[in-house]
Amino acid sequence: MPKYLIERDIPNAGNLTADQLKSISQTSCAVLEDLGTQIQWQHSYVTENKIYCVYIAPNKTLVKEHAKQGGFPANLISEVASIIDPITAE
Amino acid sequence: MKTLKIIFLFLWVVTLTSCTNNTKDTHEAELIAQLEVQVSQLEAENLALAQVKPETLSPNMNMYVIEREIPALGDWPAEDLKGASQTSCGVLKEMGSEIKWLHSYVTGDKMYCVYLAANEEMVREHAKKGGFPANEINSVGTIISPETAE
Repeated sequence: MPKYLIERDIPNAGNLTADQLKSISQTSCAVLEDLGTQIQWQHSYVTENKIYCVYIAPNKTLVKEHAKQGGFPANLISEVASIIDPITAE
Repeated sequence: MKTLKIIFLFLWVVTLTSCTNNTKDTHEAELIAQLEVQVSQLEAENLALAQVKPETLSPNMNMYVIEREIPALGDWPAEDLKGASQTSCGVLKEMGSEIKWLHSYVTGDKMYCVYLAANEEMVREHAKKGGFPANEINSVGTIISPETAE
């Protein structure tokens, strides 16, 4: 199953409170539940004005659908070809 | 929850170990071996999470997501990715313990790298020395996941 990295431009995302992040996560999970088991949210890196999300999904369309239904921006959706780390150098 | 699981499994292993000393039951010994594997797996997972959760970091380290725009990156063969990783690790070694590469997501035209560093300047210096682009460097405030919804 392909993995996707999604860039979501959200001004001042870094200032979201824990309660706001929880609420956003609940919205996301509710939409995911509706969309079935093929799409999964792994984790997201919250930065000042952008959230980078890592998803597993059968295709880009389903990632877009999740964003649409949840009301989240999805400015760039890229399929992850591989994940590398310091072990890749060995 | 993971910590609790580890403690629980550890206690179970200890209990079963003391039983085995008396009975020398091979089945129990096998079970202990399996549980020990589970404990070490959970410990490894915990360690991995501790490495990525910003709240567990030393106060002197921040997490960064670095966007590196590299056209046709998705077509790079494994040996090229290995070469780039070696260059990166070589520079990191020179720079000391205040900068650490966690992992990178390789996509079609962009690499998203997750680093720990004392400051953004070190991330820029690493990119410059290694000859990597660093088109955007964003400090990570927190990491969220489905667990955040609970």
